[in-house]
Amino acid sequence: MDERSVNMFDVHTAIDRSVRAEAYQDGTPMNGGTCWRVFGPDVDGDRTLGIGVEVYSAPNRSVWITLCTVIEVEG
Amino acid sequence: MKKKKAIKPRAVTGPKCECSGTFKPVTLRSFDFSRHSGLPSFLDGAPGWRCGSCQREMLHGQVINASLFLIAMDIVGFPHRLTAEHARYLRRSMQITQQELADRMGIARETVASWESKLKEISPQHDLILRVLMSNHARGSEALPMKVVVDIANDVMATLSSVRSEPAPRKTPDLRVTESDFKKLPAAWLSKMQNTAPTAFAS
Repeated sequence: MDERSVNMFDVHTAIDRSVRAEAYQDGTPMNGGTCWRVFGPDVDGDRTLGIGVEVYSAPNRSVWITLCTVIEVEG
Repeated sequence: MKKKKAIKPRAVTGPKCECSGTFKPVTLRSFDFSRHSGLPSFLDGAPGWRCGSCQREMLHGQVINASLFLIAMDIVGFPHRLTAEHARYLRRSMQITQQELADRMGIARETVASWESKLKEISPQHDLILRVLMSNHARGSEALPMKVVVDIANDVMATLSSVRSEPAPRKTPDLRVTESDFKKLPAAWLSKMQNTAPTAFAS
């Protein structure tokens, strides 16, 4: 997030104002669960961000893990 | 008669780290929160998770949201005029663009841009309006239980009885959410944060 000059407000805004969501094209996560990506603008409205979300249960099944990956999308 | 077996409380263990260590719940000291907030900021006494092997630290998503909210409230109560970074933080905290803030304040977008790029200091009147807008926005925050949010927003609002005539400091001071700030939060909420897995943000 540092390298892309993105902070939590950009992530929240991209999700709140998302315009598109799609399933990962490269299959399910290694640990099972579900994975998809939402696309929306950053707070300043200058860039489109893609927020990848992978959700799966931990090996001992006592906790759910959510892994978010932030990418900048062209156009 | 058979003795009833005492039920042991299940130890709270977090997910596996990339280094194959395991995250365990801890109270974090001087956690550098700058990359989450975009401002030099630290958390003292935040409920968090640390990998027992590589010592990597993580926060629960709700602790991140609560800390962002507490920092915004700290800025609203700031005794001096807002710095460029403060003004930018408050706008971004409301999740609005420079144009949207300008429209709400009835001013030109260029005026907002000039504070944020340090070309001009924010006027005392605009400073006050921005703080009031933020306090009103904060009341609808879902970062913490509603009663806590409203109490904190009301406390901060009470400090906004007059404009800040003292100019902003040249350098934005580090912001710090202290242990006593976290201790004021409901115990049940804090306990929940240490008993559910953290949300990891990677890029």
